[in-house]
Amino acid sequence: MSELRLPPIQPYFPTTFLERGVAVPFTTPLLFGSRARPALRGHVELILPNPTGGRGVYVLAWESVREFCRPTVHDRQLILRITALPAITPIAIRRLAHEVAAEGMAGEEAMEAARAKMDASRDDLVAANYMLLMALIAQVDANTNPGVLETAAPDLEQRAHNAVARIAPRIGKPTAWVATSLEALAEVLHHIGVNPKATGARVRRLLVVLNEVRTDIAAWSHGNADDGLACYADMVCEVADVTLSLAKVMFDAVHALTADPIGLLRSWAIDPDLVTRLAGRPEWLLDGWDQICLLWREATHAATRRSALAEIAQLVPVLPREATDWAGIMLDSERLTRLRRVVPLNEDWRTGAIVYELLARNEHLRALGV
Amino acid sequence: MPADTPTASPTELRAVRRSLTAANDAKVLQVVAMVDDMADRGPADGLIQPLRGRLAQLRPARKLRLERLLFTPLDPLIVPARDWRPQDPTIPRNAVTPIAATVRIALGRDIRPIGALIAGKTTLDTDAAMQAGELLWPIAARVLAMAPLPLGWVEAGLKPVTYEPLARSVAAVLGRLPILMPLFQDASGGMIAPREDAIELIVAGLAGEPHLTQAMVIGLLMTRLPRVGPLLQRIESSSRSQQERVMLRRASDQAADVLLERLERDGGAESQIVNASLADAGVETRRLVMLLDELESRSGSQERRSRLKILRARLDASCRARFIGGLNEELLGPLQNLVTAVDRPMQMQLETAARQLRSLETTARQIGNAMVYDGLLRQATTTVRSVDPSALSVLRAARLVEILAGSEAAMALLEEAQ
Repeated sequence: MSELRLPPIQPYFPTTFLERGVAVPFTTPLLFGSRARPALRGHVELILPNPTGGRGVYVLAWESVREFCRPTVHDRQLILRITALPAITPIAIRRLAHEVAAEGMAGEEAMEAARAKMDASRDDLVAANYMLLMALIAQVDANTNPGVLETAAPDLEQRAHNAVARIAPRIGKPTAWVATSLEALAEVLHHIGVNPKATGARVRRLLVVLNEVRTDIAAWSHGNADDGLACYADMVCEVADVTLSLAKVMFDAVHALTADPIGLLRSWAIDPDLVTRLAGRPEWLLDGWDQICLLWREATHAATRRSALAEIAQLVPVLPREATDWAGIMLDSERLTRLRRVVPLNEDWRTGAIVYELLARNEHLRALGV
Repeated sequence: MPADTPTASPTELRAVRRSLTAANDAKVLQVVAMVDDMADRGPADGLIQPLRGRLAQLRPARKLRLERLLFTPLDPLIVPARDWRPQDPTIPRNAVTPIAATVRIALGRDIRPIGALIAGKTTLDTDAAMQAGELLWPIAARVLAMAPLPLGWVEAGLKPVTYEPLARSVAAVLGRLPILMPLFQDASGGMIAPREDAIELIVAGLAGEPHLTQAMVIGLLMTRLPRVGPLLQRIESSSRSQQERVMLRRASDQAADVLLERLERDGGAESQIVNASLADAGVETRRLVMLLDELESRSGSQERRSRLKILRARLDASCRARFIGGLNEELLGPLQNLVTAVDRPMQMQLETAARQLRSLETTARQIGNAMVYDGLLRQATTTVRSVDPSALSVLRAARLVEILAGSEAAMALLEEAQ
């Protein structure tokens, strides 16, 4: 590759999550950690972290990317499908990435993991649908006949049918609409889970992992990192803390909806996009952290953890101002910006002979990531 | 050694050594593990001596012992006893045991926490080695800075007069390891740029040290930190006094000369590539090419430049031989002799081999004829494409083609198949 062909470095202070772009699990080492966002005239542009570890990013059209590096078949397929998306969202990109991995473009390990995950996702969807239905039955029963849930007859299908039949006129919709809407809501909610106490849903699991990784980085840094690396650790932990507290607010907002299934159906009837957007916020907020958690967890000894921390410091997602609006929490954006560190990296660490090791690593991360 | 421990006569040991030279890898690893387990290795240590080349290739996990903990970081400086000259900034291998024994005796009870950290650990437990090393190296440095001639020095074939300068220099290097080791670890990862402030601190601290120590530290920096040369030259030129500049220059030149000699000696450069596993061959080539670049970047005599040119040619030949060997044995051979269709584990092995070949080739073409590698890779791609799709699916073939010839070639193959 020739870095001379790169466009000028640009400052990166996104206002919205969409402007921040969505993390794309590329396997090409030079594209690792890049984000995609919509550009003018239906194009897609990529935001690449500065390969030297310095401030700023490169913003490139996909066509330009091919001028300075040779993307893998996996990445070509992925971007081809991203350009055809009607909307670039973390969920949509994840779905495409699973598809491409399941086709074998990122190797055998990722293919097997993606195929297994697709089955698991279907199970999650069925589970979310079931949980919504159960919550609806419980709410309808509690409203009409308090205490019936505990002594309920085992005929769940009949009770579900009754609940839907009872609720449809109250929302002013046919019973078929209620059944279809519950399925659609399950599709929207299964990533974050219907029950606030359940930790099985993907985004909730990510939240747990992020919390663990944050604690682990802080503990490791306390005993191992020299001054330079300790600064990176502090920055990662501080942004993780803010993200975790914002996530809690966003999760609470979604679960306030799921705690009232009748109200949720009403909201869905009035403005399904609003519910979809609300349920999608935790995904947007946590987008990019899964890759960071994987990098840290794959680094098992001090030497690899030092490298992982330096790489992570580059990838820590910037929090756009929109996060403040979503969570209703004031963020000290200036402080978070000041905290961001320049990470002095070997400029050529992702080129030359090491590319093949990094490719294998990135494909392994794909397998773990799905 | 307890009185009832059976001992072997020199004749018996020679016979065992001969049979070991011809033994298979498993046997070699078994013997090495047994010797490592001995509390007092004594003459058994000599059994390992002729196996060092094969051990470098096999890279087994070795039991962490005090001696290994002390000297593994200094490995690039250790030379066979016959090649050592007292004025060289190197350590003769026969000095390792008496120096380690001195440290062990001086440590007394202080050895306990170190022993606890390395108990049951191997050289693969890098964190344990680092933690134990951080305890050991500073103490060992203090001990060796003043310890008198140890027992076993003369018996190891070393002159008493050589002890003091060598021990003091080893002490000085050990004392700097807590700062050097993280730099070396970062360098092996390749991602984090070397911390210039730390290197400057190390080099600045050399001003008051004897010449041998200076050259040893700089030699270690040159072998373990890729591209440290320009930084050393910058430090050199910004030195406070002319005397300091000359001193640094001399130390760097001597370190460079010794490193060059090591590479030239007994196929030093070749054996590190030809005997390495395919996975290590790429890493070793990268290290050696960077080292040669470093040595070349120092303005030297015409004679040195000629020697470097010869070394490059030798390294080029070794890389080509290793590449062709690896290509045939680990990629094309298995594909040409398929008994059943390629399954998932085999595909993963083939992809690993293809990546390791590309990793070796990417560096090797910098010192050799790139067209040779282009030709070999084209030939390999043709072979992959010629395998019956019932034995190697189009997707799996495309994955191999992608590694060998790039994503455009793989896309073309996939499109053809549609």
